[in-house]
Amino acid sequence: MEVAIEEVFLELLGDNKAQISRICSVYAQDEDEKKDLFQEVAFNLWKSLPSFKGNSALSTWVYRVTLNTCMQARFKVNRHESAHVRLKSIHFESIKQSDDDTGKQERIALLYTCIRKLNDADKNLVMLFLEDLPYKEIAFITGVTENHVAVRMKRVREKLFNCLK
Amino acid sequence: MQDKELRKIWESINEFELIDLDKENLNREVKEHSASIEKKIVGRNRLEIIVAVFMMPVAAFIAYLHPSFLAKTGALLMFPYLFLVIYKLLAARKGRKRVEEFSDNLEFLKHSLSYYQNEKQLLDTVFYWYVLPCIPCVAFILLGSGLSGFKLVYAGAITIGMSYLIVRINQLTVERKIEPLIKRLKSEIETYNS
Repeated sequence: MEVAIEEVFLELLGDNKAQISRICSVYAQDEDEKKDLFQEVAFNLWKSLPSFKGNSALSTWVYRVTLNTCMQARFKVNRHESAHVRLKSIHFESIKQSDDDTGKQERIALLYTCIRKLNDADKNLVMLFLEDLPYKEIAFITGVTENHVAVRMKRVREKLFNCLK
Repeated sequence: MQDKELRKIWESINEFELIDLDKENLNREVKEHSASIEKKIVGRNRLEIIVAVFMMPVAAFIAYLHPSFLAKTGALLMFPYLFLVIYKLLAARKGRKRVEEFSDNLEFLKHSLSYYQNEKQLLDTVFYWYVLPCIPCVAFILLGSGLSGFKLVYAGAITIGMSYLIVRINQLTVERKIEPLIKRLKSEIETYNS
């Protein structure tokens, strides 16, 4: 891989690590699986970056690869097979929470529980919506029409708000 | 609750974790591990094919050394049989796309469905392309090997037992692993279209 692409990869992963981590958290059953998924996404981005054709924004493409990687893990014959050796260059660290953060953490946990209750199609829509992507981009990533996204989001949003009440 | 508030909660998860990338070593590490994973995948996919290829000199050895005409015939029949097995395995694994190659999520799901349906078909018919064509080869080799009486019956029983085991293991894989995946994939695709 050329040096320029290596630099783009580092920048891309650095800029999108928070987004990737959020999506992996929804699909993973525990912290270890989340780390495996994050790493798998990094591998897939690295492998496919040289063939990125530029027919979408790089960030849109990152979402697509992330979602496909997470879904692939769900549809593996042996899902619980541990991915591979953990990369030393990606460190995950939990930040200690203060007492004020407890409420915030509870809200996060509830939101994740509600999203996990949805089917994959709705889950993907909601996550992309929460990432503040326009419907056009969500449609591009998921493979349905913009109109379909709009109609569906209405229903899914309702489900989500009901669950969060 | 408003969308804005929801987004705030969604994004706040990153406040409780720190993802640190060691940029000095990340590219090198990813490159190394990517190559080793690739090797593992290729190795796993080729294992059955390597076994089939390995069987060819064994069959040639039997055909060359064994004086019995029946054993020679059985050993020679192994060649078309092994070619059939290799062809079936190669055909089944062909066309598996990588996750990053799909233009969208729906395309990924549809491709996965068709891949698992092919796998199911391959495993469902394992008796016809893997077990059945092998039986005459083994039968000829056993009959030509000079075994008689109880020993011949014993060897025959082992062959039948092994055949049953192969078919049963494949049936169980389909029932327990492949069919539930196909069902889930179909239902996911349906929800995308509904």
